Formats: sequence, C-alpha cells, structure tokens
Amino acid sequence: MTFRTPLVVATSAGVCALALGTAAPALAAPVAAQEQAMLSVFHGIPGMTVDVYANGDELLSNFKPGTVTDPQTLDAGTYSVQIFKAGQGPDGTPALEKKIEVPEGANATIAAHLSADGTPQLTAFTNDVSRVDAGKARLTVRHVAAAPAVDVRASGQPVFTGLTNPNQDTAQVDAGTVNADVVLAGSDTVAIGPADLKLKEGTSNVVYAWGSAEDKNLALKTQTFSGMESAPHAVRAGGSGAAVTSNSSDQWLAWAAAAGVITVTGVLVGRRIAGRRG
Amino acid sequence: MRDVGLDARIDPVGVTEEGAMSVPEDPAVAGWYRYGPEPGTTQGSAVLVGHVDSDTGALGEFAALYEVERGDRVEVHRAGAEPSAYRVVSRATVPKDELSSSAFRRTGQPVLTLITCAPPFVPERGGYLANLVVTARPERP
Repeated sequence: MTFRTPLVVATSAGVCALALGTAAPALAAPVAAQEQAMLSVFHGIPGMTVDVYANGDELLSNFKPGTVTDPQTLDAGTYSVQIFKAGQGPDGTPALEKKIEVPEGANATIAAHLSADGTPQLTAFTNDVSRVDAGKARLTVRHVAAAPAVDVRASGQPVFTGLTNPNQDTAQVDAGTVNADVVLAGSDTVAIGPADLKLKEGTSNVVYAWGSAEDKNLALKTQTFSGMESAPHAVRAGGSGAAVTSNSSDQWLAWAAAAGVITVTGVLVGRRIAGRRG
Repeated sequence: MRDVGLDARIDPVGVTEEGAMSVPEDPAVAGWYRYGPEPGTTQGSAVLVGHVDSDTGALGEFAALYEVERGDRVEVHRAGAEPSAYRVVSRATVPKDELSSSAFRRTGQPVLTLITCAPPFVPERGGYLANLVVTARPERP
C-alpha cells in the first residue's frame, strides 16, 4: 500500500502532540478494566440474517447484513465464535466458525464477510484507537467484499491503492467531510460510491467495503470510534514584541458578522468598552 | 470599577499544518478552538486564543490578559445563545513547550481557557517563548 495524496498529512504518530501531554485525560482508553477487551461485530454477508454465539453463549440475535455493533466490553481470552442462520443455533451446524483470540486491552472487530471469491468467512481486525494529531481523524478501509483489488479515493485522489480482501489500510487525514469512492485497482472504474464520509476530528473511522461485485450489491459501512483527540502542540500568539514594551493605543473598529464576542471586565455587570487603553 | 479592556470578536479556528493551534492573524480577533468544547457548554475546556501583538507592532486585544486578576468577569456572547459568564480563577505563565494538553480537554469541569503569548521575547528564537494562560469558571447565577 502506498499513500500518495496531500490528504495524508501524517502517516505515523504525531511526535509533537505526544510529547506534550503533562496531564493527558485518560479518556481515550476505552477498556474499562484490566484483563478486558473491547469487541464489536460486523456483518457483511448479503442476504443472510444470523445469530452470533461466543463460547456457546448467544452474543447477538437476528443480526442483519450491513450492520456493526457498538463495542462491548468482554474478558480477554480465546473465543469460539459461531455464526448461525437466525434461529438455528446453538445446536445446529454453524454457517461459520472460528477461534478468535482477544488479547487484554485489545479493541477488535470480528467481521463476517465474503472472501474475494465469494466464500463466507470470519476475520478479526484490530481497531487502532491510538491518538490522532490535533485537527486530524483516522481513516481505515477494510476490504471485505467479493471483489478484486481496489483503490480508495478521496475527492478523486487515491488514498489507498491495491487493497485486497481481507486486508485493511489506514492513515491520518484532515478532519472534515471527504467525498470517497472505491475503484478497481489502477482504474477509474467506480465499484462503490461516491459517498460522503464525515471524519470528525479526534475520531477513528473504519470503513468496510462489503458485498459482492458479481451480485452488484457492493456497499460501504462505517464504524466510528471517538476520544482519540490530541491537543494542539503549541499556541503561537505573538508578533513583534510590542506588548513587551509599548502602551499602544490602537482603536479597534466595531465588528460585524461575528461568530461571537468576548469581553473581560472587572465589574459585576459586563459592559462594552469604547476607548480602552488610553 | 476596574476594566481590563479586552473586547474581541471571536472566529472559529483549527490547527496549522505543523499541528499548532491556529491564531487569527488580526490581533483584534480572538480564535475559538473549534474542535474542542464551545464556550457555555457543560463539559471541558473552551479555548480562546488571541495574538498579544502583531508583526506590525500593534498591540493585540489579548494583551489585556496581562492585567487580568482572579475574580474578573469574562463574558462570551454568541449568536442565538444567552451570554456565558465566567470568573477568572487563575492566570499562569508557562514555557511554550510546556503548555498542558489539559487546556484542551474535552470532558470534565467546564472552564474557559484564554491563551496568548508572553515574554521572554527572543526574536532569534521565534519571538515569545511563553504562553499566558487564564482559566475562568462559569459564574453561578
């Protein structure tokens, strides 16, 4: 995979942002306690409503294609995950079965999906919920569709190239809304989209490209994790040094079309001031 | 009846390409860190920033923060909302590279954090080397 777009500003962790934290709030850590992990489940097999079992216990019922669960806390460990057609578990024959190891502190998503040639399978992905730089969001794309290699584009520019099933690629991008589409690798043939992806600052956004090219039901589904924001690593709010020495008495004009106004006063009732500093 | 004389328009700002908080070029305008909490919300630190002075030598509105004292009243007016009133609880000068990320926290007790630049001023090292950080808590009615 290569990044070759100005969208991708930082592909590695923000060294500056990380160096700064003296009292970083411990909010980004989504894991509630030791020896636990976070798990969510994505269903990307078209046309089949399922029940999901973990170690014989029903985790989800009547789980529909194209949905992803919110992360759930569970004990770290090895789970036997079984997918049944709705109503056929746990004693019937599972449609899919896999042992999945969920390490302590992990944040994982299990995806039930089609392989490149259309065979149902289970894949466990680790969700990157580490901090992103101020002003950024993380974009991850997972190819879980019965489709060949693809490129992912934002505003027509490739962000990820040559992505194959069942792999993922990830990058930090500027927060905001991007118009994304998925094309057959190396071509301009649009396979999915375009779609607007709202990438909120400080979030991690996982986009599943799922479905089947042959059945013409390729689609995107986004899973978002929040709380990964970083503070800006500096505030440079000085210029000439005039404030060090002078008592300039510039008069500022009245403002129009303002987003807001701040006043600081030493009196009980805030009042607007005409001629300040004299 | 003391008045420190800070009265500035607020524009939303984000971050620069280097990952620093953007500051409005006009030293008469304050910047609100738009990725963080808004002034008046119930959680976290709403950050307003302003230039202490401009490259042309004009003094910025936020230069008045130098005179702010504990107990001073800060009022933030926004379109379509009641004014949010705060009382200053602390004023601190910190070296620029030690500005705490907690100034930008998005949860916890609501505060208004006002930031500008502070001496020492060393042009060959990029100008001001410190930040002046004023913290204010919501005024209880």
